[in-house]
Amino acid sequence: MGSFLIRRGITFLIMLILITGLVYFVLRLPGDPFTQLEVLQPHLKDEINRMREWSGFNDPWYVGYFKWMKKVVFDWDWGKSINDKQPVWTKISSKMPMTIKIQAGVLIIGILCAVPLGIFSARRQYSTADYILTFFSYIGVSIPRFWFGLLLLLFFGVMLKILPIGWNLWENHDSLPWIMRVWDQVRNLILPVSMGVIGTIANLSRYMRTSMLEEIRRDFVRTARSKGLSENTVIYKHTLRNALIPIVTIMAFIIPALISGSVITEQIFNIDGMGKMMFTAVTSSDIPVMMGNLTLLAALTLMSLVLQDVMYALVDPRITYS
Amino acid sequence: MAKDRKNRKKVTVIDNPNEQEILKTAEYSMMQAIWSRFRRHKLAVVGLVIFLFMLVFSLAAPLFEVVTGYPKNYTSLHIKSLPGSIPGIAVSITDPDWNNTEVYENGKEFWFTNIDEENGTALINMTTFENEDYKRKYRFTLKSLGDVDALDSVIETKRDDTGAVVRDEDGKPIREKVGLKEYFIGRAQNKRHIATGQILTYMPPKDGIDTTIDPSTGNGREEYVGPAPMHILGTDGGGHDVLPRLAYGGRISLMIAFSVTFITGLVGIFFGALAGFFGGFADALLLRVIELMGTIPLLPIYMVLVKVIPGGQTPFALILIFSVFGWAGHARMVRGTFFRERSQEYCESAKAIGAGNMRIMFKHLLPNAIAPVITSMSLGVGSIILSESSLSFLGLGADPLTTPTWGALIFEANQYFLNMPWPGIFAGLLIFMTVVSFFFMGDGLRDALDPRQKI
Repeated sequence: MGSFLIRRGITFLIMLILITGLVYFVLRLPGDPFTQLEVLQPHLKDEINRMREWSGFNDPWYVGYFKWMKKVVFDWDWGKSINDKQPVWTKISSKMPMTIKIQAGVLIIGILCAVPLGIFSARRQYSTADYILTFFSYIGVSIPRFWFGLLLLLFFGVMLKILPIGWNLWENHDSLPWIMRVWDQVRNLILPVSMGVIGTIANLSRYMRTSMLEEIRRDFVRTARSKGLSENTVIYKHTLRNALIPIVTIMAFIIPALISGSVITEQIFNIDGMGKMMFTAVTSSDIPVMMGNLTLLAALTLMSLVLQDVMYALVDPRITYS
Repeated sequence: MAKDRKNRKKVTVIDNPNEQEILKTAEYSMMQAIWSRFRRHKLAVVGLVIFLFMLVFSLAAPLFEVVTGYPKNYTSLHIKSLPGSIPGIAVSITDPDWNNTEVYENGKEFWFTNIDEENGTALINMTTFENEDYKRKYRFTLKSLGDVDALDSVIETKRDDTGAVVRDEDGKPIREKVGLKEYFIGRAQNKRHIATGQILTYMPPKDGIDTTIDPSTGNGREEYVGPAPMHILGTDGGGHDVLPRLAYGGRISLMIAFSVTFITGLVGIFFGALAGFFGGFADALLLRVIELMGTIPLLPIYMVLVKVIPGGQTPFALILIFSVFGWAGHARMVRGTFFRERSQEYCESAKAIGAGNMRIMFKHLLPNAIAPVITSMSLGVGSIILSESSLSFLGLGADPLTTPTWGALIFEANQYFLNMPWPGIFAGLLIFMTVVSFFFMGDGLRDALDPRQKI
């Protein structure tokens, strides 16, 4: 396991360097943010060059990338945003908690709902309840999430007026007792989380059902039944543990997907998190912020791949790495 | 294979009626068998009906144009201010000192020419329109647009006659208040600024450009009409009928989704076949790539690529971008089948007879892999429509001026969604129904093509 981790760690670093290099190259493809400005306003050449030097875009891309990486590795300096001149890392770390709050809610509620639903449908395969759940899971997968979010806003925020439109804490939020503060946060989180959770439940419960069905047909389940164990023991003690193994590995796909989905969630509910920062950076060609965000996403993706292998070995004793 | 079928038909002419009855089941061609199994899947049939409806609906788009009298594109534009923004066109303006940047997302570039200071008019030169119709210059009157009083608060960096920034003792640029006319005309004359703003409303032309606009308010003739006999699905923010735009949106969405699925299917089959058949290093490499592509968060990547690639916001570029990232799932399917089947007896015997690798791969192995690929392609169409509409919803899809898409309609509707939601609701419903129809059909196809796979 140890040598496996070291090997995967080295691959991780090499991949990260390759991917961030590629990302930097792509981001620099259309020149730098000032190229257009220079064409339109040639008389401002000096000022533009000053800006360019300040932000480090006067080098060719490979030199720029090398400098960027050197700064990140040695000084933890991720560069500065072109839009507001704030350090990128400060921006990211100030916006991360909000995004994590929402997406962790989506993930936890998603798992808590999807696993029982999957077990339920697998135990009653081809029953009416199973067909209804299957039907709803199709709907959950294919509903455009941004549209669903807008409908939620329209229904609960505008028509019923019971939930806030967008991120809207009470004015005296800080002076409230802690229980009210928590409620205030929860009140604001309900809509964004339910917008994200519908797709997660739909997807995960399908996987859960399939993997449960696969396990339920195994010999050891028949053995467990034939030696007279109660159905609940068979399902929850014997089958479920094995059926959860593929679900653990699917986490590796779900977590990066959730983070990328936050772009849409935060855009709709006007939440000041990483997704919105990414969106603003993309639309205003803010290369340092985009670079920081994409690097984080790449690292997260690669990490969840490593984690997937490790979790596999942890939950399934049959798998060992040497 | 076609030959075989012909022969079989000849052989099945049998005198005994009982025997004929027995042989009837065997006489089904493969397509008939698939179709009959597909028909038994109720959801799949529902999906097929919805899909056919969408196809007819989007093919009938020109008809809706004629019936409603509103073309799909906005052919002239009238520019109106957002509440709280600077009147005129400038929703946001970036000045080169980077002191006064307020970027409104999803901007279009334009600048002013032919400024007439006397009358306070100028021509806007649009650069981003592909369509020749839009390249003509638009006259707009500063006075008649928006909330003029709001401009009292506009603060500009002070400049001298040569255009250089005037600075105080500390070297900081001096900033001063300016009025509406000075504001725009100053910018226009010096060409000092790139104004990126969003064009908010567009009017169809009626006898020239300005007649559809009430000059005193700057508002359009018909704005936000709800669903009514005149406009069956209502009008959008520009007073423009929603129906033809929805129909054309269907064309674009379906066109993009089908092209991408076709391309990714071919590419996926090719790579998957190579990796599954030859194994070894190519296989290991492909698995890594598939793994990475399956995990990578695609939406931010699409966003960046659309912005970075020149002409990224056209259907063609979108097809290209989606294709580059979309083939991994299909490749995995094909690879799995090839890997499993290549050691089967029929493969070995083909090899023993002396068939080449290419022949074994595409003549013997591919028919086994085609069923799962078709299923995953059908599901893929749905997810590409979702990706495309998400991008358009963020304002990063195809340019809504020249190519109305469903996502872009929701994007436009989003600006006044809480008051006038109907264009967005209809567009979203169409996306949802189309995607659901492909998922249903994919499920039916899986059962029909490969009955063993039923779960």
